[in-house]
Amino acid sequence: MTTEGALLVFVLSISAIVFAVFAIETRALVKSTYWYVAHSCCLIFIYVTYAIYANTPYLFIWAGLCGVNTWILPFLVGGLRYTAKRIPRDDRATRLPTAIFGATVVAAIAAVLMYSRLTLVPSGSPIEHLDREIGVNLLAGLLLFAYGIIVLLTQRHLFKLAVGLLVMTAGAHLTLVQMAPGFFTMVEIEVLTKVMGTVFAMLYAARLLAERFLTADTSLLLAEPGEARHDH
Amino acid sequence: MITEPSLLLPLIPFIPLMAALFVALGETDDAGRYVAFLCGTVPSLVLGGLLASHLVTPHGSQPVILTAWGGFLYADVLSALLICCTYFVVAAVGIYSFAYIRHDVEAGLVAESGMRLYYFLLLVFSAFMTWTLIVSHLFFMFLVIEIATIAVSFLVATYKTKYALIASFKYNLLVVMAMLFAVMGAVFIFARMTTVDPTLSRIHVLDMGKLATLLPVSLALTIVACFVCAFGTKGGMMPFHSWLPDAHSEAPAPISALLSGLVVVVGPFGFARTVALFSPHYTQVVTLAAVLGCASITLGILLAIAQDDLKRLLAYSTISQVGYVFAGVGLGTYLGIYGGLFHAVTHLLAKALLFFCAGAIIYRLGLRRISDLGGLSRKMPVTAACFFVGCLSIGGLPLFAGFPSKYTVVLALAQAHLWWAVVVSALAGTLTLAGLVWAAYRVFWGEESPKVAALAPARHELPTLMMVPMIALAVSVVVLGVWPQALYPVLDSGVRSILALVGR
Repeated sequence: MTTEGALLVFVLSISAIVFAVFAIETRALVKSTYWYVAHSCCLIFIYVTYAIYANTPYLFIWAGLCGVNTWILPFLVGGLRYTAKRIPRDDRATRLPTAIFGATVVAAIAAVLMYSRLTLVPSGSPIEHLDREIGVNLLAGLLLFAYGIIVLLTQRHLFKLAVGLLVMTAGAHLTLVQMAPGFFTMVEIEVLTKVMGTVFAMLYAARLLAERFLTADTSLLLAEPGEARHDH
Repeated sequence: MITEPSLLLPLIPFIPLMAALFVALGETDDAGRYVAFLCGTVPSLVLGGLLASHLVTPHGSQPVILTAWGGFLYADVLSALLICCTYFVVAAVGIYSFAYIRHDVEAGLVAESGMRLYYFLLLVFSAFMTWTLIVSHLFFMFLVIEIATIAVSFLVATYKTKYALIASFKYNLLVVMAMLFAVMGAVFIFARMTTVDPTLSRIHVLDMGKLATLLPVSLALTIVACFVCAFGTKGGMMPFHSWLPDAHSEAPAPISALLSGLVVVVGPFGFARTVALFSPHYTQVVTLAAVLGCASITLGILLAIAQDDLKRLLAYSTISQVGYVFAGVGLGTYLGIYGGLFHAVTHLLAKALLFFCAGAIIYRLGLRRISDLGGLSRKMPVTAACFFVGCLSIGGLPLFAGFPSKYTVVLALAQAHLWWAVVVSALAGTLTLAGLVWAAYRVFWGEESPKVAALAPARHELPTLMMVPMIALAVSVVVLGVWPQALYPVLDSGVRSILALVGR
């Protein structure tokens, strides 16, 4: 692995984290969709970089599938942008706990900067490289995974929860690339299919709620009177 | 372990899938839909029975495993048993729904097109539930679990009310999140195993026992934690249970029966296929499973008896009962896995029965608060009898199916010298019996409430199509209570096939 390849992945990993944070934090949902697209593009470029510099051609397939994912999820009918346009802007929306969010970003960037040795995984077994040095991508993957969990635990907006799930998935994905590149397409198909199916189902529910109650924020939905819970 | 090829195996999930396509695309009326549904489930139930009868082997002999598609599919007795349970409960849910959902359509709660979607999703769920039980590739197993989850989430949102949609969203979100933990666990295994065997390209479910012995302790425990999160969430175990009460209470009653009966069974099944194989090598896993299982047993029943909503009471009771299953299976011993799986089967039957009874009350009166009910036994005697049978079984009273299974789990805990767990589970069992019988008394035998008197002035039972599944489940609960030996050979073979994976 050359230094320039490692540096490229380092920059892309940081960018993926930052764009994920923007995708969650941006209040305008359509903009949030575009930040998510930027985040996904970083992932595609990371896979391509790995495929080229770490001599792991399988990752071209991963990159291709991730590319399909990146265009289908935001831009297909029923996807992120479609849903974002149908959820009214809600100025009462609850804010993400800024302290947790800020701390996560700072911790993410600091951890990457402190612990990375700019190493990348060659094709085949990666585990022997983890005894001393931590791969940039592994750390980025774990951070994205952790950030996704924080989002799912703290966010109340259904759209943001769907994006948070995607971020968490991206984290699992990056970890996978670092630790088990030989696992190849089955995993990619698995993650892609299940997450796409689930996210479309979740967005459908969010749209129905937003159409009827003019918000997709659960804290507001549950606070407002609706149909009685116990009546059949 | 003896491995035999099978041509029959791939057929089982394909039958309901074909029926689902017919329901989705065919221009049929209700009758055509019902026939398609029965054609999709009954043959698979029969095939599952044939598989089970073929796979059962005498005690002491080698367990038999059927494989197909080059080892991509497999079935041992455990798979075959759960396939039978799946199609039995799905068929019961479908038949019960013929009248129940039609009633909802006529009441305007469900659109006419929703009826077709309902049966389509029910068949899709049963097909992918079967895939879950027979697919050997670990990642593919996670995938089919997710597809089944999506189908169930749409079923939960059948009424499209605010709470139903939120419950559906929450269920989807939490289960996918949990499955991502399972993916991470599998990644850790794979990353480690490629150092031992660089040609490894997939993790076979049947290899998990061997893999468990090759991992360093810290990594093994991390992987177990991931799988506990994943399958604990899917199974509704505390503290991963938060989707369960909402989904159960907002779904139509037959779907609640499906959730409590089948959907949560995937958790213990995954547990038996993964975590239980680590238990013989790592005592920490046994302790973790016992602690979480007992927490689930105790808190579940304490929360259940505090509920006024009948369906939520039953939902929290499910959380309590799956605690027994997880505690038993997590022990990783013969008796523990035996008791856990036995309890999963008996709970599945009894809880489906109880949700059918709750659905019967909603169908007839539109009420579900216990404080609004009372004196129903005079109006709905068969429903009252069925509900009482279900309560006694869940409560673990002798001569009902729940007794031998729960007793086996408690014995297994004692055998493992987890005396605190024995005390906790025995006390919680007593509380369960008292709580459920008290609820049954208030609903059916207490003083007749004004609402019941106004809504049901005379004796009025349910349509036959709703009664048949309820009575069938009640009879099976009693038969298994009186004659539990009927299941012993199947469970024995199933447990031996699991323990064979860890060389025991």
